[in-house]
Parts: sequence; structure tokens; C-alpha cells
Amino acid sequence: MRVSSHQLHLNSIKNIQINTENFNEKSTQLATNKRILKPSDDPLGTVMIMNLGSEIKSLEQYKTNMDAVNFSLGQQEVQLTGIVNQIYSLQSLLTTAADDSMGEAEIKALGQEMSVAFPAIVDLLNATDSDGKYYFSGSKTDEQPFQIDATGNYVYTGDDIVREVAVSDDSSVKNNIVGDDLDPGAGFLNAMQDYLVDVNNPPAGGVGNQSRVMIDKLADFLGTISSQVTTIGSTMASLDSITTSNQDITTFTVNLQDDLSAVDYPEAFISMKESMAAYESSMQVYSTVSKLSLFSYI
Amino acid sequence: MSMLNNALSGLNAANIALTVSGQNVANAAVEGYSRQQAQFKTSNVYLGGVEVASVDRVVDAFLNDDIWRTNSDTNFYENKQSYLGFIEQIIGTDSLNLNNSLASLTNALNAATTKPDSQAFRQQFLSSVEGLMQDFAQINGALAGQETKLNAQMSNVALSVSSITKQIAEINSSIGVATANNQSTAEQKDNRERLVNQLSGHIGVSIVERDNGFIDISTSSGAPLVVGSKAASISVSGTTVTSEFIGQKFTLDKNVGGQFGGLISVDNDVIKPTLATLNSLVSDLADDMNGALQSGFDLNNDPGEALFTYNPLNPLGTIEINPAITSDKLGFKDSSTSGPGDNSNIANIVTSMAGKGDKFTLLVGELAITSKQNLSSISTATSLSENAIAARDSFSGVNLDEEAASLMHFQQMYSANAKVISTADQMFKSLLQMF
Repeated sequence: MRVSSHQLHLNSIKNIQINTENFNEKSTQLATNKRILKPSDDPLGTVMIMNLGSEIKSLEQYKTNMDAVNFSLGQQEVQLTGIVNQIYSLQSLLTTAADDSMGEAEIKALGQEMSVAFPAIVDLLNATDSDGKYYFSGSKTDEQPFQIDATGNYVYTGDDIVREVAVSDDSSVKNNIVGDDLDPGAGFLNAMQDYLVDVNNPPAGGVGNQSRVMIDKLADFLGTISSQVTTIGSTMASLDSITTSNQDITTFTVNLQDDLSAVDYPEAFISMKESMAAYESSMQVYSTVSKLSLFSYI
Repeated sequence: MSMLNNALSGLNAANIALTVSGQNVANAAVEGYSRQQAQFKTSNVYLGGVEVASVDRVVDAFLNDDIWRTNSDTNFYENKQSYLGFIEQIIGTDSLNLNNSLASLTNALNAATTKPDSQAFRQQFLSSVEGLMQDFAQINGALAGQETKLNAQMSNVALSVSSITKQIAEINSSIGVATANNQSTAEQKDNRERLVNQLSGHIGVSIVERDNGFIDISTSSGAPLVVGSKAASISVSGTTVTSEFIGQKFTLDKNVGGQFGGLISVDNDVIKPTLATLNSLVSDLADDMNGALQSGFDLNNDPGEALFTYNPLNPLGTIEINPAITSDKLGFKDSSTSGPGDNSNIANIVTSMAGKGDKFTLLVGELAITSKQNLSSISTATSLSENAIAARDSFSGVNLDEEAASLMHFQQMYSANAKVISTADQMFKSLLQMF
């Protein structure tokens, strides 16, 4: 083929430019540790990286949610454990009061002790978090759940709404215990309040029968509280296992994303070296060829 | 006498051939210069020596056609890429990734499920919405900037095309005159080819050469650009391109090729669809989230307030956070009678956002694939164009070694003819000495 002199010159320059461009691309990859410098470098890879990125973000959020639920349930468990302790001390006081041989003064003394333990239970049922929100009033977190109404009876003023918190794409856990599940219809509180009236002003026949009835009611109350503590315990246990799998999936996803987006250093380095070598040789070729001319021989 | 004349014609011919070689050497580095060759022919007169029949440009019209066609293609794809690449980078950049902003919204909502009555969580949600608004604004600004730039570039190209067609029409006239007067047209034809080359970068052309030396140019779709000594003018309004030839108007579409085709294509195939996708994403997101929030109830037990407002004619450009909304007015509750700790509607709000991020990911994927295809079209078109130029240069370009050889060859021819003259002279002298 006939090659014009101008063409020879342009071709050599073009080769040098192509090699510079390759070299530049590889060195940018190495410097940024990014295999994909713009989406069109790998459209499918870009889309996958974007999807994995959103997935990692939600996994992180689920982790935060689990921490928050864990903390909140832990706080509620502490309140309920407090109630259980008060129940135990009431239990021994009631057992003593059930002894028919008690005199009026002794019963009154027991009554005084019970009058300290009972409000403690009410306080714990009306416990609030650091923001002053009630734990056990369902959705009505601004409203004290157990209040005394106009007739002097305890009533539950919360509702039965339980907050579901998402902890993975398709599972959620309950974040709060509802007061109505702890003392349905405020039955225990009212019974105990009535009983305290008797104990503080004991009738002639003593409070033996009333105390025995009350012991049964206290045992029922302990039962409902304990079952809620168990519910919290099992929720927290399942959170632990969800946390573990969440971490596993996060690690896996992050690794996958890295595999897709990061540079294969040895490969990139070798091809950078290759384009450098090609660059050098095309310059060498140009400088040699450009010296050749028939005019030098005339 | 015939011997002297004979040799003289050889001397003259060698002289012209040497001058032509000199001209070739001098223009070796001129882009688009076609080498010239002196054509010798034996004189019609008996033993009348040699004469220079013509000095021809070494040109192959088919090779030029190839250059112009591939040049249009290269310009089509390259100009398309200059916008496509930018939009792809903007939409695909990490900091403007709408998926991240949408994930922040979902995350803020998920966080609020743990304490829906907390002002801190409600406020965090509103702040994440502000982040999303900033992303929308930046994307909108970048795309609007591209439209402005596109319009300005099209107007410039239109001016350039109109001026080139006018110049070609003028050269046509003067070549016509020169051809009629039997004068050299080589330089003018080189100039005209250079202009056609420029024109083919702007717009795809189809060329018909007439016997009188004129060329007629039309777009690949048939709209006339130059006919003889008359030229068309091109005007741009918005992104609509119109050519006008003696009162006749033609609207050009992306099939005209070249820079114009690329710019029209980027507007129709990239910018407008991208805006349409983003607009529908924005309006869907706003409508669905507004719907979910409004079907819930706020902290004052009123129906939730809408979160976004926008003008349906231009959702991406006008979307903003409803000025009436406050953290209290977010409809996180499911019922007007439940307390502030009710989070039941938050799940519905999260559900209303489902799939919006996927739409965006799909858009980035589509842009990336379009860009990748276009890049590979560029490299195909570029190598075809380089081949065409190489083919033309191989044929019409100057090779200095060849010229050096020609110089020696014609120098020898010159010397030989001079020798013939001196021989004739000696013969004449010998003849005279006889007397």
C-alpha cells in the first residue's frame, strides 16, 4: 500500500495518543480503587452496585432498629422485674395477714407496709422513659395508663395498640407491652385498693378470708406479669438471632459490592505497565522512522 | 532543427514535472491537499518531442464520499456522547444517587417506628426529605443546563452550515467560470473538498458532481443544501432544525446525521426521555407519599398533611416540601382516636415508596447501556473514518520519498535533454567546421 508521509506522521501520533489514554485510564483506576469510573464502563455492574448499596443501607437501618427495640424492651423488662419484686414482698405480707390469729394492731402494721409496696407497683405500671413517655399506655404515650377515676377506682386509660418495628425486609417485632395485658381491666389494682381499706381498718373478724382471696388475685397478677416478661425475653432472644443473620448478610453484601466496584490491582497494574511499554515503543518507532528520507541521500 | 526543438520540449516537460513535484513537497503537510501529477504525451507533430497534456489532481471521488459519510457518522456519535456522557455521569454520580436519598427517607421512617411520638425522629424524617429535594434540584439544574447548551450549540452549527453552503455555492460559480475558460481548478477543488469535509461533519451529505465542475449537495434525506450557485440556509428554533432553499422549508430530523443528527438525537432520545422518567418518578413519589400520609392522622388527630407540592407540568423542576407541613402534622397514626405512640401508618408510608428507587436504578442502567452502545458506535465510526482518510491519503496524499525519486527522475530527464541539445549543437558546429 502507498503510504503518504503525512499519514505516517498522523498514524504515529495517533498510536502515541491511544497508549497515553490507556495508561491514563489504568492509573486513574489504580489511584481511586474504582473499577467503574463511569456507569457505561459496566452498566450491569453499576446497577448491581446501586442495588447492593440500598440493601446495605436498609440492613444498617434494621440493625439500628433492633438496637432501639432491644433498649426499649430492656427498659420495660426492668420495670416489670421491679413489679415482680414488689409482688413477692406483698405475697409474704398477705400470707402473714391471712393468719386468723392476728390482732388489730398487727394487721394495721401489715397494712402500713402494704400501703408502701402497692403504690410502688402503680408507679412501675405508670413508668416513663427518658422523654417522659409512658411505657405501658399503648399508643397514648402522653397519658398515664393507670389512673383513679371520679368514683375512686383505677381505670386503664391507654389503648391496646402495639408498635411493630421492622427488623428485616419481611419481619417485625413488637416494641411495647400494653398496660391492659399487665392488669386486665385494672382488676388487681382495684381489688388491692379495696383490700387495703379493709386492712387499714380491720373488721372485728380480722382479714383472714379477704387476705386468702387477695393471695389468689396476687398470684394471678404475678402470672400475667411473668408471662409478659417471658414475651419480652423471647422477643429479645429472637432479636439476637436476627442480629446475627443481619450481620452475616451485611458482611456478605459489602464483600459483594467491593468485588464489583474495586480494582483488581495486579491486573490493572500489569495492563498499566503494558500500555507504558507500548507507549514507549511507539515513540521509539516514530523517532526512528522519521529519520528515514530519500532526501537525505540526494 | 527538429532535434533542438525535440530536446527543448523535453527540457520544458521536465521543468514542469519538477515544479509539480516541488509543489507536492511544499504541500506535503497540508490537510486535504491532493497530490498533482504532470501527464506527458507524445507530440502530435511528427518527431515533435513531448508535451505536457495536463497537470491532474490525483483524486478518487468514491474515496472522498467515504470520508464524508464516515465523518458524518463519527460526528453524530461523538456529539451525542458529549451530552450523553455528561448526563450519565450526573445521574450516576454517588452523591446524586437518588437511591441513597430515598433510602434515607425509608430509614428515617423505620427509625420513627420505634418512637413515633418523638419530635427528634419526626424532624429527622423531614430533614431527610430536604436532602431528597436538594438532589432533585441539582439533577434538574444539570439537565436544564444541558438543554440550554444544546440549543446554543445547535444555533452555532446552523450558522456554520449556512456559511459553508454559501461558500461552496460561490466556489461552484468560480469553478464553472474557470472550467469554461480552460483554467486550472485544482486549488479551488481542494478548497471545496475541505469545505464539504467540514459540512459533512455538521450534517450528512450526498454529493452529485456535474460536468461543468459544479457539485450539488443535499442532506441524506434529500433536502437541498447547495444546487449550483445557490445555497440553502439553516435555522434553529428550540431544538427544531429547519433548512430553507429558495422559499422551500424542510424540517430536519436525527436521520440527517452529522453533528446536527447527533444533537437532535440526544434531545429526542436522551434528554427528553430522561426528564420524562424523572418527572414520572417525582410525581409518583409525591402522589403516593402524599396519599399515604393524608390517609393517616397527625399528632393533633387531624388527617395528615401532604408532604410535597408540585406543578404537574414540570414535577422535577417545581417539587418542594409543602410549606404547611410541620413535624406534628405528619400522619404517622392510623386512627384519629389513637395516641401519639401509634406507628401503624408509617408502614403504609414506607410501602408507598416501594419501587421508586428501582425506577431510578433502571434509568441509570438504561443511560449507561445507551452510553456504552454509543461509545462502541464511536469507535466503529472512528476507525471507519480513519480507514477512509487513510484510503484517500494513500491515493491522494504526498509521499516524500516518491517525490524525491520523481525529482531525481525528472532531473535526469532534464540532463538527458540538455545533453541532446549539446549534441545537436556539436553536430551543428562540426557541420560549420567543414567550411
